[in-house]
This record gives sequence, structure tokens and C-alpha cells, in this order.
Amino acid sequence: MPSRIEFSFSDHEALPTIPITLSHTSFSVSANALLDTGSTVNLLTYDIGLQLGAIWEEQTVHLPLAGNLATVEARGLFVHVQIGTLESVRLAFAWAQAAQMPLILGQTNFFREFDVCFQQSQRTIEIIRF
Amino acid sequence: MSLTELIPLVNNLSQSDKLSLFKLLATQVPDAELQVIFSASEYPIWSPYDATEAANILMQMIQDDRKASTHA
Repeated sequence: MPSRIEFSFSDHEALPTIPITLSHTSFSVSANALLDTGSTVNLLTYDIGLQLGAIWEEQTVHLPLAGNLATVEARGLFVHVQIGTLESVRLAFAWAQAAQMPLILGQTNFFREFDVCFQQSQRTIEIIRF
Repeated sequence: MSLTELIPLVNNLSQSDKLSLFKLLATQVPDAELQVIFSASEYPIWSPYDATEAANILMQMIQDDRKASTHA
């Protein structure tokens, strides 16, 4: 199983996103996730959580978000994340009751599980599992 | 002179000349149209960069899960 993978980063893309597959219970969803070193948490949109078969009322860990998400209710949810051919990893997400926001991979705990090299001059993003 | 001919000339102006030109043009545009240009949108920043309490709770959730996996 490889421990690193590289994605091309188009000149036209304003933000670094990578394709990932999320799995929870027996459901999986493919989506583009924003690599956000400035985000303290991983953030899962409400609709993706529902598509993964998660039940809001069953999630008992309440998370206070901040900034313009301060009024949005969020709950902790474990989701398996597959990045290309890398081994699937179980990440903890803040599942937020909001739709108009990106799927975010942030410090807790995506960047605790992976090194990420943003190589703008090479137009690549390298993800390394450690 | 057409706008197409003018744009390269404007691009070559110094910053202070661009600012002077901008001020001149602004006086010739009705206030209502300027307001539409400069207050048209709010740009939400979704990145929860300072949600440290949420991050701490998530870390605790991860640690509890690891302990439960170890004891299982």
C-alpha cells in the first residue's frame, strides 16, 4: 500500500482541493475536499452526512464552532476517508448543520494524520501518510 | 480612443496615477452605481480557524475511541 500520492493543482484553481471518498456505515460518497491548514477542525456538510447514512440525533458530541459558523450547530462524527490509493483512515469531523460551505480537511485531525506539500511551482499537491 | 486601446495605457500608469484616475472616474459615476459595485456581496469565510474548543472536544472523542478500540 503506497504511503504518498500526488494530485495536480491547476493554475485556474483558486483553492487547493483533492478528490476523496468518504464512507460511514454502508454508504460512501465521493467529493472534493478543501485542504485548509487554517481550519482547526475537519468539517462535514450536513447533506454529505445524511448521504453517508448518519443520523443527526444519534450524534451526542456537541461541538461549538467559531467565526461565522458560531451559530451553526455541529456534532462529532467519525468517517472513513480514502484518498486515492492510500490506505483508508478514520477521521473525526465536525458535522455541521449547514449546506452552503465546503467540505474541509483541517488540523484536527486530517493534518495530524498526513503531511501535505503544496508545490505551487510544480502545480502539485503531495499527500503523505505518516 | 477605444477602451481596448486605453486599457494597456492604464496598466502602464504608476500606482499613484492609477489612484488619481480612479478618483476622477469615481466622481463621474452616480453614487447608486458605485454602491452596487462596492457593497454588492458578503463573502463568508467558512474556515473555522479559531474553533479550538471544538478541536479539543474532537481530540477527546478520538482518544476515547482509541481507548475503546484497545479494550475491545
